[in-house]
Amino acid sequence: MQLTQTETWWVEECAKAEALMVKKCQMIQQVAQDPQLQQICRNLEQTHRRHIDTIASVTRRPGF
Amino acid sequence: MPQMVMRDRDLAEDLLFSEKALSERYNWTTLECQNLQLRNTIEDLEHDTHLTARSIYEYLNQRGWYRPRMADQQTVSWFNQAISSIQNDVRQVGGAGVGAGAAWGTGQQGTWQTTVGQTGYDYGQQTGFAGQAGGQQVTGQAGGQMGGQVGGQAVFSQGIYAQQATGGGVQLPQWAYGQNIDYQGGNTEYRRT
Repeated sequence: MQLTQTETWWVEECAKAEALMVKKCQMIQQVAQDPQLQQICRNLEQTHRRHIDTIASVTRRPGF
Repeated sequence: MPQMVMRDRDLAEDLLFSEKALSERYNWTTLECQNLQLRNTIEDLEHDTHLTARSIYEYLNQRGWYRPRMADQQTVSWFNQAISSIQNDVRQVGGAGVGAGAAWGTGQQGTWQTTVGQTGYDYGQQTGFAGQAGGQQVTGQAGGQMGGQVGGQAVFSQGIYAQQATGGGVQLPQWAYGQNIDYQGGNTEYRRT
Protein backbone atom coordinates (compact mmCIF):
# COMPACT_ATOMS: atom_id res chain seq x y z
CA MET A 1 0.00 0.00 0.00
CA GLN A 2 1.40 3.34 -1.02
CA LEU A 3 1.13 6.62 0.78
CA THR A 4 -0.85 9.38 -0.79
CA GLN A 5 0.70 12.74 -1.56
CA THR A 6 -1.38 14.26 1.22
CA GLU A 7 -0.22 11.67 3.74
CA THR A 8 3.43 12.25 2.98
CA TRP A 9 3.01 16.02 3.33
CA TRP A 10 1.18 15.84 6.65
CA VAL A 11 3.40 13.17 8.16
CA GLU A 12 6.50 15.13 7.21
CA GLU A 13 4.97 18.20 8.87
CA CYS A 14 4.43 16.17 12.04
CA ALA A 15 7.98 14.86 11.99
CA LYS A 16 9.37 18.37 11.56
CA ALA A 17 7.25 19.62 14.42
CA GLU A 18 8.44 16.75 16.60
CA ALA A 19 12.07 17.63 15.79
CA LEU A 20 11.43 21.22 16.81
CA MET A 21 9.97 20.00 20.08
CA VAL A 22 13.10 17.99 20.77
CA LYS A 23 15.24 21.10 20.22
CA LYS A 24 12.95 23.25 22.31
CA CYS A 25 13.03 20.78 25.19
CA GLN A 26 16.82 20.71 25.04
CA MET A 27 16.98 24.47 25.11
CA ILE A 28 14.59 24.77 28.04
CA GLN A 29 16.60 22.24 30.03
CA GLN A 30 19.54 24.62 29.73
CA VAL A 31 17.81 27.89 30.56
CA ALA A 32 15.06 26.93 33.01
CA GLN A 33 15.68 27.70 36.67
CA ASP A 34 13.24 25.21 38.09
CA PRO A 35 14.59 21.63 38.33
CA GLN A 36 11.06 20.27 37.97
CA LEU A 37 10.62 22.06 34.66
CA GLN A 38 14.00 20.77 33.55
CA GLN A 39 12.91 17.26 34.41
CA ILE A 40 9.63 17.63 32.54
CA CYS A 41 11.59 18.75 29.51
CA ARG A 42 13.93 15.78 29.77
CA ASN A 43 10.93 13.47 29.71
CA LEU A 44 9.30 15.37 26.88
CA GLU A 45 12.46 15.30 24.85
CA GLN A 46 12.55 11.51 25.11
CA THR A 47 8.87 11.29 24.21
CA HIS A 48 9.29 13.41 21.10
CA ARG A 49 12.41 11.50 20.04
CA ARG A 50 10.37 8.31 20.35
CA HIS A 51 7.62 9.84 18.22
CA ILE A 52 10.06 10.57 15.43
CA ASP A 53 11.35 7.01 15.59
CA THR A 54 7.77 5.73 15.46
CA ILE A 55 6.98 7.81 12.39
CA ALA A 56 10.16 6.65 10.69
CA SER A 57 9.46 3.09 11.62
CA VAL A 58 5.88 2.94 10.38
CA THR A 59 6.61 4.67 7.11
CA ARG A 60 9.57 2.38 6.40
CA ARG A 61 7.57 -0.79 6.82
CA PRO A 62 7.10 -2.97 3.78
CA GLY A 63 4.10 -1.82 1.89
CA PHE A 64 4.75 1.84 2.55
CA MET B 1 17.49 48.51 25.74
CA PRO B 2 16.40 46.01 28.38
CA GLN B 3 17.00 42.41 27.52
CA MET B 4 13.98 40.12 27.29
CA VAL B 5 14.18 37.29 29.74
CA MET B 6 12.18 34.12 29.34
CA ARG B 7 11.07 33.09 32.80
CA ASP B 8 10.16 29.53 33.69
CA ARG B 9 6.51 30.43 33.33
CA ASP B 10 7.08 31.76 29.80
CA LEU B 11 9.04 28.68 28.86
CA ALA B 12 6.39 26.32 30.18
CA GLU B 13 3.57 28.24 28.50
CA ASP B 14 5.48 28.21 25.24
CA LEU B 15 5.94 24.49 25.61
CA LEU B 16 2.23 24.00 26.21
CA PHE B 17 1.31 26.05 23.13
CA SER B 18 3.76 24.01 21.09
CA GLU B 19 2.22 20.76 22.29
CA LYS B 20 -1.22 22.05 21.37
CA ALA B 21 0.00 23.00 17.91
CA LEU B 22 1.56 19.58 17.48
CA SER B 23 -1.66 17.92 18.58
CA GLU B 24 -3.63 19.92 16.00
CA ARG B 25 -1.19 18.83 13.33
CA TYR B 26 -1.65 15.20 14.29
CA ASN B 27 -5.38 15.65 14.24
CA TRP B 28 -5.32 16.98 10.67
CA THR B 29 -2.98 14.21 9.65
CA THR B 30 -5.30 11.59 11.12
CA LEU B 31 -8.21 13.02 9.17
CA GLU B 32 -6.22 13.01 5.96
CA CYS B 33 -4.90 9.47 6.31
CA GLN B 34 -6.06 6.93 3.80
CA ASN B 35 -3.80 4.18 5.08
CA LEU B 36 -5.40 2.63 8.17
CA GLN B 37 -2.15 1.47 9.72
CA LEU B 38 -0.64 4.92 9.41
CA ARG B 39 -3.82 6.47 10.72
CA ASN B 40 -3.76 4.32 13.85
CA THR B 41 -0.14 5.22 14.50
CA ILE B 42 -0.82 8.92 14.08
CA GLU B 43 -3.81 8.67 16.40
CA ASP B 44 -1.60 7.05 19.05
CA LEU B 45 0.94 9.85 18.69
CA GLU B 46 -1.80 12.45 18.97
CA HIS B 47 -3.03 10.84 22.16
CA ASP B 48 0.54 10.94 23.44
CA THR B 49 0.72 14.69 22.83
CA HIS B 50 -2.45 15.08 24.88
CA LEU B 51 -0.68 13.39 27.77
CA THR B 52 2.46 15.50 27.45
CA ALA B 53 0.36 18.65 27.20
CA ARG B 54 -1.41 17.59 30.37
CA SER B 55 1.86 17.24 32.26
CA ILE B 56 2.82 20.80 31.31
CA TYR B 57 -0.65 22.03 32.16
CA GLU B 58 -0.40 20.49 35.61
CA TYR B 59 3.00 22.06 36.15
CA LEU B 60 1.60 25.50 35.29
CA ASN B 61 -1.58 24.91 37.26
CA GLN B 62 0.24 23.84 40.43
CA ARG B 63 2.09 27.15 40.39
CA GLY B 64 -1.02 29.21 39.76
CA TRP B 65 0.20 30.21 36.33
CA TYR B 66 -2.58 28.58 34.41
CA ARG B 67 -5.85 28.59 36.23
CA PRO B 68 -8.87 28.93 34.00
CA ARG B 69 -11.49 31.06 35.74
CA MET B 70 -14.56 29.11 36.81
CA ALA B 71 -17.84 30.06 35.16
CA ASP B 72 -20.17 32.07 37.39
CA GLN B 73 -23.70 30.91 38.18
CA GLN B 74 -25.33 33.09 35.51
CA THR B 75 -23.02 31.75 32.83
CA VAL B 76 -23.68 28.18 33.93
CA SER B 77 -27.41 28.86 33.81
CA TRP B 78 -27.18 30.28 30.27
CA PHE B 79 -25.00 27.39 29.27
CA ASN B 80 -27.45 24.79 30.55
CA GLN B 81 -30.28 26.51 28.69
CA ALA B 82 -28.23 26.57 25.50
CA ILE B 83 -27.47 22.86 25.73
CA SER B 84 -31.12 22.03 26.44
CA SER B 85 -32.16 24.16 23.48
CA ILE B 86 -29.72 22.39 21.18
CA GLN B 87 -30.95 19.04 22.45
CA ASN B 88 -34.58 20.01 21.83
CA ASP B 89 -33.75 21.28 18.35
CA VAL B 90 -32.24 17.95 17.44
CA ARG B 91 -35.20 16.06 18.84
CA GLN B 92 -37.56 18.11 16.71
CA VAL B 93 -35.49 17.57 13.61
CA GLY B 94 -36.15 13.87 13.89
CA GLY B 95 -35.32 11.60 10.99
CA ALA B 96 -34.32 12.21 7.42
CA GLY B 97 -36.38 14.11 4.94
CA VAL B 98 -38.74 12.74 2.35
CA GLY B 99 -37.38 11.42 -0.87
CA ALA B 100 -35.04 13.40 -2.95
CA GLY B 101 -36.30 16.66 -1.72
CA ALA B 102 -35.92 16.93 1.96
CA ALA B 103 -38.42 18.02 4.43
CA TRP B 104 -39.55 20.61 6.78
CA GLY B 105 -42.29 19.48 9.05
CA THR B 106 -45.10 21.28 10.67
CA GLY B 107 -46.35 19.37 13.64
CA GLN B 108 -49.60 21.18 13.07
CA GLN B 109 -51.94 21.93 10.31
CA GLY B 110 -50.71 24.72 8.16
CA THR B 111 -51.08 26.61 4.96
CA TRP B 112 -48.16 27.54 2.81
CA GLN B 113 -48.29 29.90 -0.04
CA THR B 114 -45.60 30.51 -2.54
CA THR B 115 -45.40 34.06 -3.65
CA VAL B 116 -42.50 34.20 -6.03
CA GLY B 117 -41.73 30.54 -6.29
CA GLN B 118 -40.53 29.03 -9.48
CA THR B 119 -40.95 25.35 -10.04
CA GLY B 120 -40.94 21.98 -8.53
CA TYR B 121 -42.93 21.78 -5.38
CA ASP B 122 -43.37 18.24 -4.24
CA TYR B 123 -44.51 17.90 -0.76
CA GLY B 124 -43.50 14.38 -0.25
CA GLN B 125 -44.94 10.96 0.07
CA GLN B 126 -46.09 11.01 3.63
CA THR B 127 -48.40 13.93 3.31
CA GLY B 128 -49.20 13.59 -0.35
CA PHE B 129 -48.95 17.28 -1.04
CA ALA B 130 -48.18 18.29 -4.54
CA GLY B 131 -48.26 21.63 -6.11
CA GLN B 132 -46.64 24.19 -8.27
CA ALA B 133 -44.82 27.18 -7.06
CA GLY B 134 -45.82 30.63 -8.15
CA GLY B 135 -48.45 31.89 -5.89
CA GLN B 136 -50.38 28.76 -5.13
CA GLN B 137 -51.51 27.81 -1.72
CA VAL B 138 -50.90 24.40 -0.32
CA THR B 139 -52.51 23.16 2.82
CA GLY B 140 -50.80 20.68 5.01
CA GLN B 141 -51.83 18.23 7.65
CA ALA B 142 -50.58 17.89 11.16
CA GLY B 143 -47.29 16.21 11.57
CA GLY B 144 -46.59 16.16 7.89
CA GLN B 145 -43.46 16.73 6.04
CA MET B 146 -42.94 18.86 3.04
CA GLY B 147 -40.04 18.49 0.78
CA GLY B 148 -38.77 19.64 -2.50
CA GLN B 149 -37.18 22.44 -4.37
CA VAL B 150 -37.98 25.98 -3.64
CA GLY B 151 -36.76 28.46 -6.10
CA GLY B 152 -38.24 31.64 -4.85
CA GLN B 153 -40.10 33.06 -1.97
CA ALA B 154 -42.40 31.13 0.22
CA VAL B 155 -44.73 32.41 2.83
CA PHE B 156 -45.55 30.15 5.71
CA SER B 157 -48.86 31.22 7.08
CA GLN B 158 -48.65 28.65 9.81
CA GLY B 159 -46.24 26.06 10.82
CA ILE B 160 -43.14 25.42 12.74
CA TYR B 161 -40.01 24.74 10.88
CA ALA B 162 -38.89 21.44 12.25
CA GLN B 163 -36.67 19.74 9.77
CA GLN B 164 -33.82 20.84 7.66
CA ALA B 165 -34.17 20.36 3.95
CA THR B 166 -31.28 18.19 3.00
CA GLY B 167 -31.69 17.54 -0.67
CA GLY B 168 -34.17 19.92 -2.06
CA GLY B 169 -32.44 23.23 -2.04
CA VAL B 170 -33.95 24.74 1.07
CA GLN B 171 -31.71 25.10 4.03
CA LEU B 172 -32.76 27.29 6.84
CA PRO B 173 -30.28 28.22 9.49
CA GLN B 174 -30.04 26.35 12.76
CA TRP B 175 -31.89 28.98 14.70
CA ALA B 176 -34.99 28.48 12.59
CA TYR B 177 -35.60 24.94 13.83
CA GLY B 178 -38.59 24.70 16.03
CA GLN B 179 -39.50 28.29 15.31
CA ASN B 180 -42.26 29.98 13.45
CA ILE B 181 -40.52 31.05 10.33
CA ASP B 182 -39.78 34.62 9.59
CA TYR B 183 -36.61 34.40 7.65
CA GLN B 184 -35.06 36.12 4.71
CA GLY B 185 -31.70 35.20 3.40
CA GLY B 186 -29.81 34.21 0.30
CA ASN B 187 -32.07 33.78 -2.69
CA THR B 188 -34.98 32.59 -0.69
CA GLU B 189 -37.27 34.39 1.62
CA TYR B 190 -39.46 32.84 4.26
CA ARG B 191 -41.90 35.01 6.01
CA ARG B 192 -44.54 34.01 8.47
CA THR B 193 -47.86 35.58 7.68
